[in-house]
Amino acid sequence: MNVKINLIDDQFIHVSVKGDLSVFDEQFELFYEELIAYSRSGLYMFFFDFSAVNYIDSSGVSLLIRLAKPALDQKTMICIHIENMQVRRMFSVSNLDQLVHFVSSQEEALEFYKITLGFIPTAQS
Amino acid sequence: MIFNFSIFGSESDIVKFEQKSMKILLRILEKNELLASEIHFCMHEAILNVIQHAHLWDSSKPIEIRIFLNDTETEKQIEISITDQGPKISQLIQIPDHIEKFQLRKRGLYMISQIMDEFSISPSEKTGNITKMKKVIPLNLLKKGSENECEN
Repeated sequence: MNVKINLIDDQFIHVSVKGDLSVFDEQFELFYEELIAYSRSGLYMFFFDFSAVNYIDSSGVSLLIRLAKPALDQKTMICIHIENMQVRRMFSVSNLDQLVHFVSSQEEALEFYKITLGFIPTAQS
Repeated sequence: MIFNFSIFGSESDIVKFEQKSMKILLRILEKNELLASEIHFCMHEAILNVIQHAHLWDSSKPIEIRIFLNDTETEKQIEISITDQGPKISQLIQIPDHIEKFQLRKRGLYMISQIMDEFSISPSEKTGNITKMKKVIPLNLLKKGSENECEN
């Protein structure tokens, strides 16, 4: 699993993942802890680029549920870009598809947060 | 056709097993990636459940996995049994048929129950417990899936 995390304007977190999102991946624990730390610090605007994710297990699903709740409390949702049909199917089987907003790009995620929260990143304001 | 595996709970052992089992599933499911991936997911979750709750992350305890394939004229039946060495559970584990919005516990078991046709966890006659899963795949569905993949 290869992960890149980019914080924009101290509020919006771009998370790019390549490979398998599985508890048996050696990077998973660190990835989990880092994202939960962002959530605990009060951040809830996430864009997950899963376009290169081939597999997600229930641990990955649990992480996203934990991040989705604070966003829903703020009347918005975490945003996710998925291309793989099997990964999309797991979102459906776990009911996670009811807790997240599917987008096709970071721009679409930013547009969603502009509509739901009035968030405009500095570079665009 | 029967495939037997004995693995330990280390990350590398599990990753190797999952790679092998995925190849087998793709072969027996005529390269239908969606179905193979779903069954592969269920095995992964069942093994994870064993490691977390029966073996308590003790990677020295072996896990016996058996994949049994039965072909009939109209369907493929895949039966998977996973035997652990944990303390015997006192009764059948209740598999949830419904899950709350933000519920984390038992979500993996719930997901397996949504994919498989049969799923149970019960004490084994010998030692430990046995997880059983069964998926019945009509052959026409398999052909349909392969045709769709060719079209894409």
